[in-house]
Amino acid sequence: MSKYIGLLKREWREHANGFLWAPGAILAVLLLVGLFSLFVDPEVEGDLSSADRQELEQRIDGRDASELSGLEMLAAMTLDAAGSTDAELREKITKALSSVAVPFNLVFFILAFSVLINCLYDERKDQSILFWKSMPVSDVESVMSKWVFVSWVAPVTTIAAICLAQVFAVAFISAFVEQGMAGRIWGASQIWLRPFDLVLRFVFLSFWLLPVAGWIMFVSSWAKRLPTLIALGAPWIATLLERLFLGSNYLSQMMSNHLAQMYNTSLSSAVDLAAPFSSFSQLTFWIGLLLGVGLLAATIVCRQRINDG
Amino acid sequence: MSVITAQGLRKKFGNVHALDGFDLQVEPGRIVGLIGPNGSGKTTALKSILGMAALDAGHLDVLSFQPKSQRAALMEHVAYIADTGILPRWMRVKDLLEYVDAVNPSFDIALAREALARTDVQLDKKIKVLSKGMHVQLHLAIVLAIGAQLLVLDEPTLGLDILYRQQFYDGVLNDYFNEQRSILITTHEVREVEHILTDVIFIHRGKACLNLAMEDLPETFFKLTSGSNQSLPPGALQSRATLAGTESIYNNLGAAELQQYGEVSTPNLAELFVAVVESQHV
Repeated sequence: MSKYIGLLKREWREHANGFLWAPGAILAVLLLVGLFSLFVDPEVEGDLSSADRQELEQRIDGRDASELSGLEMLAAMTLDAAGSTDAELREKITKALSSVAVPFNLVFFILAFSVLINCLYDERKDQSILFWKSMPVSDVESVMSKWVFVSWVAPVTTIAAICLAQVFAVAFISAFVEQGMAGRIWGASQIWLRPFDLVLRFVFLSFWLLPVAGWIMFVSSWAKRLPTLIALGAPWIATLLERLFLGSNYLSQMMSNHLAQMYNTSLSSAVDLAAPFSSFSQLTFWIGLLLGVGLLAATIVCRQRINDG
Repeated sequence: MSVITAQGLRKKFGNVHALDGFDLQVEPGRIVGLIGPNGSGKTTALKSILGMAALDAGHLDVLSFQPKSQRAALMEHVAYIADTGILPRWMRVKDLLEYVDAVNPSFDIALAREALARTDVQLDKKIKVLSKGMHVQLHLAIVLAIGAQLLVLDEPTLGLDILYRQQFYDGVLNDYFNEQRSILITTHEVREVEHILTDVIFIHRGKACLNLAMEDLPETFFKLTSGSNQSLPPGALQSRATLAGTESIYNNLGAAELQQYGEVSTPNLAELFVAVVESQHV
């Protein structure tokens, strides 16, 4: 067991900078923007039409709109907690929390791609592969440790940062909603379930994206140069050729089916812990898994043979 | 039990025979020098012994393991230092020791730290800031702490200054080597290792063209230095003119017979290598 922990620690040490600092930096920026908006209260009142103003004053029990700060006005206008049903409120809060998650996810996917495309390329380029291979670690263990790291270990910091940012966002919103509505906001946010929801989504995502990760690692294991270009360009050319010669677009459909899961993970609907399990009933999920396992196996064979030529 | 048994190893790259029926036997407690020019098949031979390259044909057994299919298990008992700095440059020294400790059950981390304490290598430094000499010191400290039964050295002192070279071989001999352990070493610097080898194998065009225990060298090969007008007995492996006369290498005649033609001595490995390889071209 200590061997596998050692292998994952090795990966973490090599890539900790990105996976630690990137979500940390995004979190810091979001917090700063939040703090900044407290001090520079947005001027909303001047932009209100008389109809908007009337509607707003109705929502705050007929009080004068000028009693509200800009943030309070925004909360009242966009959320309208008092006038929304629980389901409507949940939907609005979920949208807000999803948009908080987007930058974290986006940066994570870029980092994950960059780690996977370089992981087997760099060790060949700097010859450190000779050292790694002089250790009692098989090629299967080496390749799998890299996939496990990117799929299941590296997302931990991103998930933690998203959860913190969402707690902060809910606290921020609940501070400015109409009086007595803060409790409803916390309830509607499902904030305590979100970590479980995110972990589950990332685990399923790792299987949905197995063929993508497998392909990237496969290219990384043999490309002599420009692995990124090959990893991105070859599938694109393959879809073009398919359309040109076969007149079909199965490949691009399959790729978009799988890549769309990244979007689903980011912009989740309300918490639904059962939702990811519906993957099991989709044929494309299983085909992708099979393809992914095949590509990982090909990657392992390439790493075994790297010194043959 | 032999440490390495290699029989009839063959490996072809395109039309080039990197190994063309190469044989090798290494016993415990031996330091074997594998000497050959560039492109002679040295590195291919070493990589197949380490399980890093597949062979086309032949039988290869290292410590009772099949290197290619059992590389991971074999590497618990074998250590390797290559000509280029192959340690991961992005890692810190202490993290590298921790990694080896986690993956290699034969590794004694305390021993490695002790060995490093005697050098200038600092534990919290990144490997990329170490000099070439310190890089080799670090690799040697790891190898010593693995206590492998077989140590494979591929041009280990290439690019090192004389001080580090001396320290390196002192470390290998004093702290690593004993009668249960073996070393297989390739180097261009034949003179540098000549005095520590117990056996020597010349490799040329993928074949072992000489396999000799160093203790047998003085009774097997002779260098005859004679005046330029002196007639020479036939059968020299190689003769070359020098300022003083002619130097010839023989292995078909004894010292007593050769003495009547001039001064007889034992050739050094560099002289012997040139003679043996050139005799193959004739």
